[in-house]
Amino acid sequence: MSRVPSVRVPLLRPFQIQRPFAQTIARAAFVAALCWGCSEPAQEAAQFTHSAVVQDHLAKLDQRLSQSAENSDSQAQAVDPEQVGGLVAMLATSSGGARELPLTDVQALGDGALAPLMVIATRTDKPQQERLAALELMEALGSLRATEQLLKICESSPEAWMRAQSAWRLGNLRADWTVSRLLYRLKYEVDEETRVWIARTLGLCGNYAGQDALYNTQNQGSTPELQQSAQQQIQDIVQASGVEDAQVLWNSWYVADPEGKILRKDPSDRFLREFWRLVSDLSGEHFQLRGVDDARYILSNLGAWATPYLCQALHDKDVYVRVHVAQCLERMRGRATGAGPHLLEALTDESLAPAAATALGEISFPLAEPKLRELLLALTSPHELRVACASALGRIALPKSLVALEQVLAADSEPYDLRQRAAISLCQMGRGEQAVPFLHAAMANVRVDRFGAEVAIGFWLGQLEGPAAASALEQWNALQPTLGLIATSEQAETRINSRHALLSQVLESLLNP
Amino acid sequence: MNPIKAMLGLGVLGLAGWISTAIFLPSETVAAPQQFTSSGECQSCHTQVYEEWQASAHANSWVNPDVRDQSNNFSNTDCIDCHAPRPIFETGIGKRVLPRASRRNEGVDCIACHVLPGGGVAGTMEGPSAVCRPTARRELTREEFCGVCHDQHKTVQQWKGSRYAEQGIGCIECHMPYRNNDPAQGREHTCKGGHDMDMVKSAVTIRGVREAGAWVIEVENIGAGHSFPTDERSRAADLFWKPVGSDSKAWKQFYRFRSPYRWEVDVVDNLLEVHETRRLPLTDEGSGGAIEVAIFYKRSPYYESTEKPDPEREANLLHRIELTP
Repeated sequence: MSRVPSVRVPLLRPFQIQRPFAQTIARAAFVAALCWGCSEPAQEAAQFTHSAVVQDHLAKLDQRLSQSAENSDSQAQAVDPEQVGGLVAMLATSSGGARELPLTDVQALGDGALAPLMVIATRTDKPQQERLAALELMEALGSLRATEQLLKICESSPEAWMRAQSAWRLGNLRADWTVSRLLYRLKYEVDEETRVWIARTLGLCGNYAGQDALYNTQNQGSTPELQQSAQQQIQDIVQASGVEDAQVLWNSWYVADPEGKILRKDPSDRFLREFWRLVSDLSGEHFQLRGVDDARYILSNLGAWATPYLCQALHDKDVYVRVHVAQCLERMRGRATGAGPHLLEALTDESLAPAAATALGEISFPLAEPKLRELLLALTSPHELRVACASALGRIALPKSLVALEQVLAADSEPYDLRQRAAISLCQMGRGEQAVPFLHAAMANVRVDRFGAEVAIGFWLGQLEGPAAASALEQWNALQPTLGLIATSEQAETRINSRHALLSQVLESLLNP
Repeated sequence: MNPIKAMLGLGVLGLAGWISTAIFLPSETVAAPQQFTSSGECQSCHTQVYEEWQASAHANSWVNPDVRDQSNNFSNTDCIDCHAPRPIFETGIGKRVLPRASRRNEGVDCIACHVLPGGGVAGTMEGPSAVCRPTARRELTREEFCGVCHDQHKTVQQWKGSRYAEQGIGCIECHMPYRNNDPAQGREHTCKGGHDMDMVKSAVTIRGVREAGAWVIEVENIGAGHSFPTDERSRAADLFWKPVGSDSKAWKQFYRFRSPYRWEVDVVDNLLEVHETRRLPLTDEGSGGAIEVAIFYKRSPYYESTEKPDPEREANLLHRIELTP
């Protein structure tokens, strides 16, 4: 039932009866004397401070960018569209060394050539060769504005081949600040070929979040040519990354890169500006979760370089920013290992602590284990935080956490969801004796998180060895829903009930082989 | 003994006793606001409300099989914010909700809507004698209160452009009506919506009009205070037809109302707007004889087979009409 009241009690509420004045004065004097006598200034914990972190960074970067020549707002000198059209026609019809001339000439024209080039590139009544030539000339310009125009085509052209072509050209330019917008495009791109080229460009810019898309196309692409193309791009980005092979690149990106195998470059100011703009998208100023979802996705896929900046954002004055940044670190997993000490410190921030604890678990920061265990066992910890700690301990998976988790699971007096969280963590740590019977019972209880219990038991089954376990796992997996198809409620009910019945038959023999 | 000193000593002792009493005796009814950790704590006093809520989509927003599958068991963590939110009064009305880590199985629960920052609960009236001592907060009945989650898909915005908004008929008038139409009995907490087929049926009607030798099917939003269907990209309403008397395998789909997922760039957002009547010509050559037309409602977006969908098995029938030329 109800817990001990929080210490942050409002002084006077409508339903409270005001104390006699003398009593109040006397109690205040007594407490003051007590505090004065007992105070130990050196013992106070450092406060987790908040400030306008995001605003400050954006202001500084805006100032720096406005001072750089590249970003000056000066208008490009207008160029005769016919002159540009001539260069396009020449490039479209030339081959070999003759192609060099228009590519050099367009650089002499500068950004003034961009507007006519965009007109040609986006006009669907123009011959495809000319439109391609226009894109190539934009790449040859290579300026900030030219890169921006190519990016816009990649982001918004209704023609897939144009998106693919511009993505490829952007890869040749390798401007790091395009990464965040390309990640967004990759999230929603449906054209297989364009996905391949975006993933390649990301790789060439030092971001390997597109590996997933490349491997998917390599294995399941709709044509052999696409599969081959994806395979080739994987090889290209592995070579550009500086690591030995594709497996190392995959692990260094998705798992952890403690030795710094992936070559890293400091982000440009423009890229940092993009980064802080995305962080500001997390703020409570924005209502739609759609933008927040996108920002979380991009920020958590930027790479390990973003970790220290995200740690700074943990101190932002906006609670939405703090919580969502912790979620980004959580999703980065091994790439955010460096955030461990900062997240540990964030456990003292009441509004942030549960998200920080969850993130500590996902980045698997072992130094946090004692504190997480202490908070889990302390009945005075907020319930929200205790649940997050139980979850995090399962992810860190150190043997010394087992006793605490088992203690929580065994205590009938503890809230059910905390016990279930402890049970799931124990399953993840391969300790199923107490946990699996608890979760098995949960699977049949429509009022609790029975699907969470189902997932945890599936994981536990997968870890078991021996013929009985293999047979049980096979039967369990046979009830798996069809991949890619969303099951109806009835199908889901049938599945979980069948799995519950299966486990009822085999659980005893699995626990006592 | 000096009587003056004795009097003074007694006085000092008396003062000390008074101060000690003032400090150490518990003050009679001064109490902190109650802290709640589970909706189960509300059950004993609010049995009816609790039972209504427990059967609602709100209570099942974490454990419902539909959402579990559609979110891949919430591995799509973006869904958690609304399916297990922190208290709305904590994050603020008109603001986004934030996800919570605990009690997720309780979904959108009593605490999410009623608990106030720092403890205590919000109600529609003051209740100083009640155990939970509710504070009256009129925001509970405002559309913006529901909108913290439901306006993520623009439902409140859709309502704002409707005649219902002009007439002051808000979310709770339809989704939390008074029990037995009696304000004294309080409002239902079933929050019926897209999971309640009677309510979904009351949102639309269909009819057929014969024009130039062909059928035009009219679908009218007669009851929803927002677009139909609304709120979830996962939901759809489909129009099917088949010759009268043929079996269920003969259903042919000819129109779909749906708002697409973000990545479905080829799907047009064509929800039936509030008060709208949409006219849909049935151009299929085989529709010359007597036919049945039906509108089905689906809580997950895709059929097992796109070529031969089986609406009777995979969706909910809302209305069926027979049309004879």
